[in-house]
Amino acid sequence: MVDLSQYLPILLFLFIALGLSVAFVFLPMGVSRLTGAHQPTAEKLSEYECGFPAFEDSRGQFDVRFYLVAILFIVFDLEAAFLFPWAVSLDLTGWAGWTTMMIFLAELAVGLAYAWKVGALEWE
Amino acid sequence: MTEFFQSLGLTFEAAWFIATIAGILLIALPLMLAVAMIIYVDRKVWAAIALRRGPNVVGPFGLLQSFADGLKVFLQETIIPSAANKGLFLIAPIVTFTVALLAWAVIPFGPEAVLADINVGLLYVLAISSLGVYGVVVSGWASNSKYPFFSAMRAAAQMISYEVSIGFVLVCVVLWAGTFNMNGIVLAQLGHGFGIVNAFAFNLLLFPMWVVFLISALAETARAPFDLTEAESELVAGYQTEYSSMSFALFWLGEYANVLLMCTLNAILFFGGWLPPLNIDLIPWFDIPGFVWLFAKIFFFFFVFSWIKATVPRFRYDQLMRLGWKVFLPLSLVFVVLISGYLMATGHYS
Amino acid sequence: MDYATSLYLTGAEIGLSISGLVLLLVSAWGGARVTRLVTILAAAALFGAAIFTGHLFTELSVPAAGDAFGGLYRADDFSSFAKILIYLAVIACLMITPKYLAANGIYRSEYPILLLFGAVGMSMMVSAVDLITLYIGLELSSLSSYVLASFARDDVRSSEAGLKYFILGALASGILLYGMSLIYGFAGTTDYAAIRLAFIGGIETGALFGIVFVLAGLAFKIAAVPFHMWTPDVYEGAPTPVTAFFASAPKVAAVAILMRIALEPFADHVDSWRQIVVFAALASIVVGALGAIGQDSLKRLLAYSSINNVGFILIGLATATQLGTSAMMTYLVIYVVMTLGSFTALLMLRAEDGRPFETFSDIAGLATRKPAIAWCLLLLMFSLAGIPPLFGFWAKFVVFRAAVEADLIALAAIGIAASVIGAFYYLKFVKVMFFDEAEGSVVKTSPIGQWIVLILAGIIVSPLGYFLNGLLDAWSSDAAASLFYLV
Repeated sequence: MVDLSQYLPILLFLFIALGLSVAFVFLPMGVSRLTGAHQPTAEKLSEYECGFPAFEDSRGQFDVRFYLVAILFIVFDLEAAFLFPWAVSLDLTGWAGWTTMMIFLAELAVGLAYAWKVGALEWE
Repeated sequence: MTEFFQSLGLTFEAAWFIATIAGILLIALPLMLAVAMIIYVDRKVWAAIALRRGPNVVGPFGLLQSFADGLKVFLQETIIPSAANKGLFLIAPIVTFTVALLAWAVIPFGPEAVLADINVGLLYVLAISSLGVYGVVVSGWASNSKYPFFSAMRAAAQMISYEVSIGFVLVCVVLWAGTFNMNGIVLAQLGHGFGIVNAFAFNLLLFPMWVVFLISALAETARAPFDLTEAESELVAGYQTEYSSMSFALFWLGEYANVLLMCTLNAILFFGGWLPPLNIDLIPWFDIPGFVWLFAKIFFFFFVFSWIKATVPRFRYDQLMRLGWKVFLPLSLVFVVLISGYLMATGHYS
Repeated sequence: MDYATSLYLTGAEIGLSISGLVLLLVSAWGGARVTRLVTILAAAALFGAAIFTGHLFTELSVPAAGDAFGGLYRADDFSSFAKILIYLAVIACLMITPKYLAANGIYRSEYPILLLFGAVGMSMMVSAVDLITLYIGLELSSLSSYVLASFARDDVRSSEAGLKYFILGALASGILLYGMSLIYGFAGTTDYAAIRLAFIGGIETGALFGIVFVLAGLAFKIAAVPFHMWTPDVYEGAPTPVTAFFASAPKVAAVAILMRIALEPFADHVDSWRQIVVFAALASIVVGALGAIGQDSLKRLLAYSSINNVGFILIGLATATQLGTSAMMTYLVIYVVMTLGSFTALLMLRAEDGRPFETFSDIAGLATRKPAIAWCLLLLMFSLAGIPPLFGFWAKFVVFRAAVEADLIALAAIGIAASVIGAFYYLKFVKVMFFDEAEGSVVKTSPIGQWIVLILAGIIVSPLGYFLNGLLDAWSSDAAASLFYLV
């Protein structure tokens, strides 16, 4: 049985780490108001574009290949996620488990070969 | 530690709570200190390789340089661009830094010195470190500015590309160790290499995986030569362009904490973690506390990281993607097959 | 566990998967040159799978079944029957497609491969006796369908159809999964037989919600009212051969899993789900009939016609008897033939400049311009309307007979009344073709594959189809018997 109490320190750690980061973000904002460093101007608050006013909306179109990478990532990361439990239970599943996973890997290898050949992995 | 606080007359729950909080602070605060010092080391190493002096004004040998920098950013004004999504803009550094700290919860500094000795420790590290991409993407999006946006896209694609091969490398290690528990992985390396070296890296099947892991770790943390996300000649300062004051510093701290984490993982997964390098008790190796060995290994790997940053030219983006998808991914896949096949055939599990 | 038996029983799926993977590599390395070869090989693989399944159909002694992989998968007469129907429908889709896609410059070898993977998913679905297998099969076939819907990626309507189908399909899958998790939560298992045992003493409200969610998710997949909204848009936007595919094979598979899930794990709780099915059936019949009346687009009209037909099929399910199930199988066969036939006829109608015929004004006076197609369409439309001498009448007849025998006389009566409304637009089709003035350009010649499918469909729905009756009845009742074997 999993000893869930081992996860309690992680939860506490999460709170402490969150507290630290929140403090680091918001304390300087207060401090700068106290010291008088806080002097926003319209120029200062405009977005950076090498000294020019922004030419166009920054959230425009971007290359569809980023989507492609994301989709490929999902496929192969799920494959890895599938491999993790398999890797620690090979002593239980034995050759049957090994063969099954090899078939699965072969299928994904076919997918990779296809993606490679049709140019989904190219970045030019 | 719980016993110590119990001996002071506290109930078990209270003692446990105080001990845990103390343990967390014992990890978090020295970690931040270590990050500050390691930034100094980084700069000194580059300087030495470039035949410069590096920071040498603040404190003896410039040792206090990082603290001076920290104080400076702390007192600066926090600028939130008027076009930015304010909430997301402030959440991004919080996410980055929190996640960077959180991954350390399961790192074993010695046989007993681990905060949360969970049975899926390695999986936890992988899960938490992959959350780091959210901080990057959110900051790039929330800035509502071109360079951060481009940089965030690049960074996200780069991080997830290399995470795939890291996942397969971890599978290889886990196959050999038979457990996800970090201490279990460390102990599995006792005398692993030729019977005397306490390291997985000296195993002929795992050595290529270590190389893949080292390079992927560089790419995952966006260190040179894979620092395309903040290639200053193209993208100004990357996704941090619009940040200032401590929010900016949090990205730095998070980034270096992640670099240290990757060095630690190198040490734990492939070089025996807190074990001494050799499994021979000639001089009393094993009497030296484990964390000394671990820190020495971490420091060594950090030196390697700095060395690489100072000497290797930056990759082009298409080269980066090609390396990740067309070299590392097939290679690590093949090694998963090879290693699992070898272990099955040699009866490792029976 | 006996792997040899498992592999033998899943032989059709394994064969199809391997051919799909090999063809994928062939297409990647061969490029545009091998498209035709890949299509032919895919059809051959499907044909082989159909032969193998037919062999299983005769081999497995009625009504015994073979469980594979520890009860995740079952090969019985029911699944074999549905699979053969699916494979043949996909083969027909492959036969009618190449010309259309080539004319639009989108004939790529991924098309037959996607159909092949879709067929694998669908046969996993109909053989699933475990919620997990069911979901995996469903997603495999759905994912293929989403890509197929937007196969003409440069066409705005096709992209829209694909996106719409994907988003709504994902929502439906979510609903389905939620229902499955509720059922799993209350039963503690995903295995059909075990779920049935778990609920033997009665069914909790939470599990009832699970059933409702599962039925709703599946109702989306078969396009039953009130989850039908996507159908006209997707059918209209997708390339016509893809629409033909959507209206045939996936519908068979989805109806089949609906039958299995209603009649295996929840066979003891018919009253819990019967009213949902009755409502969906009646609503589908009425909405399908009324919605089609105002349509000018032929593809939208056929979409509503398919909604209408699903309603009639669900009447069979509402009976929850062996006779009703057997009637559904018969109906499915005839429905697939009629649908494929009508879409093929639609595909064959193109103006001289290559523009496909899409509205009623296009087909005006078709009888004088292209009499063979017009007469085949006449047969198909009369058959869809259920006019007596044609085979479509038999399909409706067996369903209503089952309903009457199960004492659902009101349901049958409303169904019959609604089918009269439906007859209106089928007859309008015929009237426009035969009595309106011809106008516009001449129709081009059509490839032999489309002629084969159209003429076969025409022959089957014509009164000649009744010669098949003996065989069809025997097979349908075998299939239905195997569903009720465990009862």
